[in-house]
Amino acid sequence: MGNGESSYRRFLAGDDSGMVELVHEFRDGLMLYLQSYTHNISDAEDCVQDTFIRLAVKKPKFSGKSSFKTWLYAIGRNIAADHRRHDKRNRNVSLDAQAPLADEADLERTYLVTEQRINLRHTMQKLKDEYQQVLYLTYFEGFSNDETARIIGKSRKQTENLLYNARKALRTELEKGGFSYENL
Amino acid sequence: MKTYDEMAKYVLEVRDEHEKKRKRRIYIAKRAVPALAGVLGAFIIGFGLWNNYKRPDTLPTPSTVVECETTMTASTAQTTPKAVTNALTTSAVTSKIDANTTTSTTAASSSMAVYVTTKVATTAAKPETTATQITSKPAAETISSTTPRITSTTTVTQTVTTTTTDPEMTGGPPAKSTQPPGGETPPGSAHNPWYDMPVHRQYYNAFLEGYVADLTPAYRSGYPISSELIGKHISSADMKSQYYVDGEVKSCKAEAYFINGFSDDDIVAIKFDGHDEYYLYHTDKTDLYSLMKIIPPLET
Repeated sequence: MGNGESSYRRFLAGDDSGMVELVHEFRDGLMLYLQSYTHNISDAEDCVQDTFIRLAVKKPKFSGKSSFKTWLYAIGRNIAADHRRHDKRNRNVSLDAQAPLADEADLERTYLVTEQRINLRHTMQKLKDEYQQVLYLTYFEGFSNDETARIIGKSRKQTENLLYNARKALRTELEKGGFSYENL
Repeated sequence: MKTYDEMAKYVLEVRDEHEKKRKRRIYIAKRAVPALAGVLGAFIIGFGLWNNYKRPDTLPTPSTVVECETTMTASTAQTTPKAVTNALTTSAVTSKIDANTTTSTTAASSSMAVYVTTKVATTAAKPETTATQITSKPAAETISSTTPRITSTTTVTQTVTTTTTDPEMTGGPPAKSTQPPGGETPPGSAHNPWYDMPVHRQYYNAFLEGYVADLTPAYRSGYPISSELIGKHISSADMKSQYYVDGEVKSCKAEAYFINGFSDDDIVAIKFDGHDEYYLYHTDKTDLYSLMKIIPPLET
C-alpha cells in the first residue's frame, strides 16, 4: 500500500476498496492519537469513524501541500476537538466506560508492538494533553516538526517549544518510574 | 471495538445513505422547480393584470379633447364616400378584365364602363350624377381612346386607395394637396366645415421661407387688416391647415409682408394668391386681444 493518497484517489474515482485500505492503514494510529483528546478509546474510535465518514461523504479535496497522513490526522484532530466540545456540554458517564480498557490494550499490542513503546505511552498519559499529542506524533508516528505543527494547528516555533517541554516532563516521569529511554 | 472491515462497511453504508438522500433531494427539486415557477409566473402575471386594471384611465386635457372631436367629425364625413369609392373601384377592375378578354365591340362598352367608374371614384358623393354621365357618353368616342382611358382608370384607383389610408391612424406623412386656396370645394367633402371657413382660418399656420423649428417661429392666423399697414415683402410662406382635412393637411403658398412699424419677430401680414386681402398672422408670444387694440381689424 502507498501512503494513502492513491487509495483515496481510487475511492474518489468510485472504487470502494480504496476506503477499506485507508481504514486498514490509518485506523489504529489515528485512534491512539485521538485518545489524547477524548481520554477514552471508545470516543476515539467514534472520532476515527467520523473522520472516515467525512472523507466518504464530503469527499474533501486533497491538495497535496502536506502528506496524506498529515492531512488525515488534521481532519481527525478537528473532529476530536468538536467531539470534546460537544462532550463538555453533555458530560454523562456511561456504564460501559470501563469496558474498552481491554480494547485499548489489544490496540497497543498490535500497533505499538514492543513492550518498551507500550510502557512509554503509559507514562505519556500522565502528562498534559498537549505534551501527549506532540510526543505521540513525533516519536510514535514519526512526523517532522513541521507536520506535527500542521496537525495540531500551531506554529513551528510553538511546536518546538512544546516538544522541548514535553520531552523534559516525560524524562522526569520516566525517572520517577525507574525507566530510562535513550532517544529522549 | 469494531474490526477494520466493520468500520469500513459502516463508513460506506453511511456514504450510500447520504448519496441516496442527496439524489432524492435533487429529484424533488427538479420536479418542484417547474411547478413552482409556473405558480410564480401565474402570480406575477395576475398581479400585473390586477395592477394594470386598478390604474384609472388617464383623460386628455380639455384642449386635446376639442382637437380630437374635430378630427373625428372630419373622419366621419369621409366614411360614406370612401366605402362607395372602394366598391366602385373593385367593379372598375372587373370591367377592365372583361375588356381585355372579349371582342372589340364588347371592349368598347366595357371601356366606357371603366371610364364611368373612374368618374364615380372621384365624385363618389354624387352617384346620381355619374349615372347620368354613363348614358350621355357617346360610345364611338370611348372606343377611339380605350387604352389611355384604362391607364387613367388605374391611376385614379391608386389615388383613391392612398386617400383611403387614414394618416391619423398610421401616423404617416400627409399627402401634399395642390388645391388652390379658396378653390372649388371637392364634392366628396361637402360636409367638412373646413371648406366653409374664411381662407385665413382654413390655413391657420404660416411657415415663412427658411423656417427652422425652434429658431424661426411659426405664425398663427389672426384677422384681416388694412392694406395701408402693409410694408415690404419678406418672403413666400407655406400655409397649412390646422388639422387633417379629408385625411391630409391642406397647404398652399402665400406671400409674407412686414406690417409698418413692427418687426417680423411676432407679427407678419400674409397675402394669399388669388385674394386681395391681407391677414395678420402672429406668433404664440403675442396676445391677440392686445394686438387688436394696436392694429384694428379690417371691417368687412
